[in-house]
Amino acid sequence: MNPLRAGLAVVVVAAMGCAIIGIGMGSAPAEREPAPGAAAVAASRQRIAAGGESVRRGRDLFTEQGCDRCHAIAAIGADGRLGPRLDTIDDDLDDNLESITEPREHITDGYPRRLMPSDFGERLDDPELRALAAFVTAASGGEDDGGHGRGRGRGRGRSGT
Amino acid sequence: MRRLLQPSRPDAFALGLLALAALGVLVAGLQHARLFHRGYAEVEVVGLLFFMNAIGSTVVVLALIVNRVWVFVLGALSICVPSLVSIAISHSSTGFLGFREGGYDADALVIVVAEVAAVVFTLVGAAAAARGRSGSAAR
Repeated sequence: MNPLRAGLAVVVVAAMGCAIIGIGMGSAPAEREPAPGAAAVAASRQRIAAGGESVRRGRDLFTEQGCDRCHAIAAIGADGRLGPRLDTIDDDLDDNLESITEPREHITDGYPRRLMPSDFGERLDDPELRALAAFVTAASGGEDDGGHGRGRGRGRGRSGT
Repeated sequence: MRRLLQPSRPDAFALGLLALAALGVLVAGLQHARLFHRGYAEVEVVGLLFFMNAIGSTVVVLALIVNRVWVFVLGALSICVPSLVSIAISHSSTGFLGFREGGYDADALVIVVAEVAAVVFTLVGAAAAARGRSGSAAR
């Protein structure tokens, strides 16, 4: 092999080797979010277990719709890192519902704008959407105010992906 | 098979086209590695495919560097075409292996552009290399 090709091979192996190992590639934005402690996870499990039929249906939908691929909820072993953690937010049911149906309205800094599908409002019917939002609310400990709203702004921007 | 693995020396034009294809393969592989470390690693199966894409891209580009032109051609097409199809499926309502994406952001666009360029340059470069080989055989 001539020196030019040998040099090229070394450059390709070095550059791709670093990329594959992860040197200089950065990390998922979600890794900068602290995971909840053991007590918070236990409390989250309790709220989910006590949440009734709607929350149980929401938990099933969370997996069926692939939400767990991108979002982390420690209480159910979901470890997605493409979007924000959903068990440390403090949004109420309406805010969570809006984040599901209109995910691009409020994006947490550092997360891609277009990754989360925006068609859940068409894919799921209203009870399913509310069940999914109820599950996220229960998992996170956000306030379920029965749909009366609690003032927009607090903890907003969690849709991320 | 043995002919496929033998070194071949295409003319400068064909080699130039294949080099551009290799650049596309490398950019796409690099971007897959970057996204793997930026969260896709946790996505079941899809994350592993991103990782394998990066490794495969390195191997096929090395094949071109050591004159295994036809290994490069087959490898580049085997990586880029399924990757493009997977990206398209993941952006559809069906989803790819249960994974759906909502839109093409800059990261996805870099991969699509690089892989489309890689496929086009690979096909044109392979045609040019094949024509050069049959021409020299006729002489």
